[in-house]
Amino acid sequence: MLKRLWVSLKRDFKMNLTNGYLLITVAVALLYMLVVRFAVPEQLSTSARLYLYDATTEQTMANYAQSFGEEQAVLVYGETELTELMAENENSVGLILTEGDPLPQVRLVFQAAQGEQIQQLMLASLESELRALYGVEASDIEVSTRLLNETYSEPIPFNKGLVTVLLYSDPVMIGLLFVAALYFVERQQGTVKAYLVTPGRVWEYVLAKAVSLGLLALLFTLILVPFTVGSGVNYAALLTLVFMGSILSSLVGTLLASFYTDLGQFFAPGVLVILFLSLPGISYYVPSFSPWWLRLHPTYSMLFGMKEALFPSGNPQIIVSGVLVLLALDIVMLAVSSLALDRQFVRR
Amino acid sequence: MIHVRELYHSYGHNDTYQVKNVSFDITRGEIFGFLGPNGAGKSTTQKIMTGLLPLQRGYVELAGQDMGHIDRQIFNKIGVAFEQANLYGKLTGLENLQFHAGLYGVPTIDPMALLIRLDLEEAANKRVSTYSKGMQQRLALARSLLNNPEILFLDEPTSGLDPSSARSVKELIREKQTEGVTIFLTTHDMHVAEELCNRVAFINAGEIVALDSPRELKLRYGERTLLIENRVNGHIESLILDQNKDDDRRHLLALMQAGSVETVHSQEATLEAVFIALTGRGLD
Repeated sequence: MLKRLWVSLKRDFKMNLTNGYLLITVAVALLYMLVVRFAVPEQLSTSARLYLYDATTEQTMANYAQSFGEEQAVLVYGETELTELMAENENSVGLILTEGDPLPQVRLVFQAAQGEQIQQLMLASLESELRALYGVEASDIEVSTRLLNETYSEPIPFNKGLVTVLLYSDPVMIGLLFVAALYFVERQQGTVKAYLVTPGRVWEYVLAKAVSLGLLALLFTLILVPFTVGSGVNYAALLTLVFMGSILSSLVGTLLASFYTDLGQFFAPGVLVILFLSLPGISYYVPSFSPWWLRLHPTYSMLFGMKEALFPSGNPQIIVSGVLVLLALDIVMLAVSSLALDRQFVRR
Repeated sequence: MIHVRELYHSYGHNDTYQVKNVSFDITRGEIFGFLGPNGAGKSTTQKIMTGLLPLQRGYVELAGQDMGHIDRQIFNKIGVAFEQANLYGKLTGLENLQFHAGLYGVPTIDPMALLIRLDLEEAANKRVSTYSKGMQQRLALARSLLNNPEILFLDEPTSGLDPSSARSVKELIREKQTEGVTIFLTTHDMHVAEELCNRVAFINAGEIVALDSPRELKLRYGERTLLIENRVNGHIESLILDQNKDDDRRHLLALMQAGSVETVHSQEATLEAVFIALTGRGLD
């Protein structure tokens, strides 16, 4: 069995080479690496909405807030309200004034994801106003950060954060289209028929293709990640998740391909399935949106496992759950897709 | 070596059968020809026998293996060369053979040795997509021989080959027969069948209409006449004499005694003529 798997894997890797899949993978990885490093900024926006809570008797801040306009500054009437509003708007900053002796106490609240750059900018822009109003110096302002999500240990620069999504959407999900193209070419050539009159099993045939594409996904990862995110990455966990995720995508592609006769028929449903598998990406960009049904999505734990592997926050259980979910899904999908291919694709 | 009993197959899973009540036995070392026109049920029968189509009704046994309950180890004993070569066009000829050799659980023949035997050594490292149809056909035949099969299924093995390559392939088939390989040869080429097969079965509309050695079929369905070329006054005269008629027998004897007979040809039927006589249609 291992010998058959090995020769099938060698054949599929040669096919990936001759089909140009290897070249495409390397070229896209290099392109993404350059885009992430040199084209995408670390911070997408440096302007943030200011929520002001003035607990002093003078209420001087009300006038101050009005001078900004509602788009930029909003006056609130309690610390709880300020926290709730900040939770809804990740691109926001809080300013709290309380009575002090002789000067009011000033506290700035930042989001966990806001980096040093935006904090310095906000402090600089508020300093002159606070000095004019209260005579408060920048050094007197207390700065605190609010943990929006427990998984954040430190802010992830926007461009590096993009790497998770690139890994998730390209080498992992693209396997679905690649594998279908391989099946349709082989079906046209009739090579599947020749394989079926050997001792080789259909599941070995399916697995070899998925593994060969999984290896391409690993190559993609090893080109993109070291030159973008760099050190501090849990590579063992990341490569495991990427490899298993790519296999899952290929197996889903195999199952889907078994219902169609050519790539033209397959394309539209294939893209729909990719969109479905990409749904957890919403939670990645909008962490406050992660309803229970999205958490149950088959690739949710994979995406956040990859994020934890790329940007470790001390929560390895996210990786473990991602690996276990993928392992279970890979086994189930290997059985289902092999059965479907055997019955509906090969013997048609 | 091969036993087929009351085989039926319906693609629509209804009462319209593409293969109907097909039965035959093939002994070890025999070349068995399965003759019929396109759509007669040849390929369907072969697909059922090789496990490419599920066995719906009937019984098929290959080398002791019931093909209704396939243990995939049986494929270590079988070689199949399809009419369409079914090769990886982007791999070389050698890579195609090396891949398939690795799938068997039994000792295999060196792929390069097979390529040399089939005059493909110069193309060994070229992509199969650059091969001519004849070269692809020979490569597919080489692939079917990799595992030293006990049973060989050949579908139109000389189709698309030039006369020299066809002769080489036929020699190879005879060589395999002398080694004890049982060969199931599907074809609609009566010359190939006559030349190679110990027995042939004619299949028409899914049913076997005749099964015997080519010689017996030709004798049974042909006429017992002789075509004589006789020299008379320096000119060649052709005449047909019936061996069943006393006058014709006496005439032949007289010609022989006179020593004027130049050629004698028996007038038995061709296999194609037998097929037409049995089915009312040709093999093409």
